[in-house]
Amino acid sequence: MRRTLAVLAMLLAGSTAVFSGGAPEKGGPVELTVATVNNPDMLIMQQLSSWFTRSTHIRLNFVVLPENELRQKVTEDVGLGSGRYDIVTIGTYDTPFWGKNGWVVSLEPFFARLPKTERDAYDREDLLPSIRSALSYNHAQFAVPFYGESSMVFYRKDLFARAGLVMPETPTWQQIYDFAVRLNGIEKGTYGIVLRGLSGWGEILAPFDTMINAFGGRWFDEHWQPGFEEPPMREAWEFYKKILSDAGEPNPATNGYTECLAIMQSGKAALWYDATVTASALEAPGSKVAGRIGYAQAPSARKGNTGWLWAWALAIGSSSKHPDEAFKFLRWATDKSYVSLVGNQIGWSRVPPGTRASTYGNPRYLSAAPFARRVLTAIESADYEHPTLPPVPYVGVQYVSIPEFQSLGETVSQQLAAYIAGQKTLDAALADSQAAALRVAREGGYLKQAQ
Amino acid sequence: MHELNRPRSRLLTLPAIVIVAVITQAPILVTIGLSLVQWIVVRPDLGVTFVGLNNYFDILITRDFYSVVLNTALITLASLAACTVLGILFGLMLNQDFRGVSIVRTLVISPFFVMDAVAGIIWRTMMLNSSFGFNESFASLLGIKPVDFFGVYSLLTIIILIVWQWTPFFVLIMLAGFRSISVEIADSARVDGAGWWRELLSIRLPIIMNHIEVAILLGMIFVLKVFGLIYVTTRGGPGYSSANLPFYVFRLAFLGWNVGHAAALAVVTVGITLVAIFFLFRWFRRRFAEASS
Repeated sequence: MRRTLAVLAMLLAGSTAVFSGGAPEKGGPVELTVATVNNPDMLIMQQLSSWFTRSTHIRLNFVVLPENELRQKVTEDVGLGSGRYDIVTIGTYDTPFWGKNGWVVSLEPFFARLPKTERDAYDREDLLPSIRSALSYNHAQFAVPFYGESSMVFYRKDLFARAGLVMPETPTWQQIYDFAVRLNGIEKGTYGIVLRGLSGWGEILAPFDTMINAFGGRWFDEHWQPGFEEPPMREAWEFYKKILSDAGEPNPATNGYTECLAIMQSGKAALWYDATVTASALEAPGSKVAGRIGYAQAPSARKGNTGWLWAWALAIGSSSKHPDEAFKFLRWATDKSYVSLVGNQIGWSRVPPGTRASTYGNPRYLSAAPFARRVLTAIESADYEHPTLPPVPYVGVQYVSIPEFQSLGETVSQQLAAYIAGQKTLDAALADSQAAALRVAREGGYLKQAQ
Repeated sequence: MHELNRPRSRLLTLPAIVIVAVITQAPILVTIGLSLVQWIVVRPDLGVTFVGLNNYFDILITRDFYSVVLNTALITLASLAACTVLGILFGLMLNQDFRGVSIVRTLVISPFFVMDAVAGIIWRTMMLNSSFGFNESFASLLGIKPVDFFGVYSLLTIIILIVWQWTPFFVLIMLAGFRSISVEIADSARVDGAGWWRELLSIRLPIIMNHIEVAILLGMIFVLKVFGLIYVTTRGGPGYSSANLPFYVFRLAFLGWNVGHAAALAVVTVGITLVAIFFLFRWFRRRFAEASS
């Protein structure tokens, strides 16, 4: 029934995916179709993929998409069972329930089948434990991390020195607010702080969720009752708007990660709280602020260790016709030798960060990336299993690890954006978010499970 | 002889009719079928279950649905009104013979050939962005805060962008209408002492009324389906303040992965569109009947 509906739904959507097929079946070399995201690290992987093809004679066909579209296309592909992609790029959010749904295959049998020499060479124990754990379901690993990140504060050391300010190693949100207000307009057209304002759970909610956690808020209590009417949640909403209104960039509704990066790189902001992976972009030759950026850990309030945890990872689609070849590619792209390949061919500052402990012991990487140790600290201290102060029934720092969060996060982020833009009162935005969360808890069967 | 052969000759058209029916009607029937089931793609453990009309009730009791319907009506009516007025004005202007008229015509019509997504991205980043665009440059020149086009004024911004993109289409049709008016009619109106306004209101506009109606009808069909512009500029927000029905369907289908809700909303959207077009058609027919009598 579901299969029939799936095919019909594909027809309805006008999608050609179901007909497009994957690799050639008979004769000729194997071709793997890889769905990946269009960030710089993945583009480097694509650029270097000829090395893999040369040594294995396995051809690669990359489908490169922006994050939102990638998730949409790949979910459509695996959820409706069309099996277009052999290898999919998914995040820490997707991996556990994709594994549970059987959309991607467990990697444990593949690792178990490896000869010892190859298993030792890959060295799975070298993967950062927090990232590896986030890519597992029921103690089985379903994806291998390509790069990992947490979040941290970036600040302009020169502006801080001029204003006589000192950034602590782990600032509080109140300190960040005071710094931002003080530095707002210190130079013509310079904002005190830049923060994401674009709606979307992968946009504004990423930094904002860590703020909710810091203030002691939570999306759901331990019985899956939504927490949008709890005082700490309200406080976080007010604070995010206050810091943007008093010292942030004007009209933030269109500013996602890319726009915030452009603002910071062009020297138009004194502070930014965002992904650790940004550090290399801010220090890159084209950046106007290269060499003038300081780093601090994610801001705290009632709770510390609020930095998020994220990794883009590679997994094998369950309908792949070439899982063994796909596993070969997964190993190649996440192996220590790939790190060296990127370092030697592209540059050591461009090495994919946040996945392997050995990367942070490599002197060539450490000298090319002055921020490396802070990034490692941020990733290692991210509280993935216990993201909030009060108890919660979920894991995940900047998201709630349930499949419905894509939709719920989008809805809540829209409410937050409407509140920030002044189109909705706080009471109305929180009430609508509460109602949406309650609907998800009921329809998803979570409330029933808890009772 | 011809009468005897007619049923058999009609049989020859059957394959074509079947193919056309399958291509055009099957998706609608499938959508109606999907609207009666609960199917959340990201929760295969919940299965696919028949829920009757529950998906329709779920949608109709949601407050967001009514704000999106209102937005859709506002976007459509305001855009069509503005496009019609601007189409007539530009049509009149481009109907004149002056030096460089071909270049002006090309410039006026060019926005119509820019893809939705490209137009949206350019407007969002280069023109109206508060931190980089002309919006920021003008604001800093005047020493004021940039206008919040994608926040406070998101719905108005969407309407402006649609008008920018679709006015050329109206201009093309109006221009064709104006050019079809014979010189003799205009000359005789002037001989009878009609001024420019009188000639426009009593001669030119009534003559091109069928052009105006076709432009509005086609414009309505296109504007009701606008998606790309909203997707790349406001993503329907903040909140649902700039979302229209197609974008709402997209959000339910590809962010919520709730196939039943999305299908039910799609059916409702088609229903609303058909009703709107039906009334518009009826109004046009009356107008034609009055004009011809």
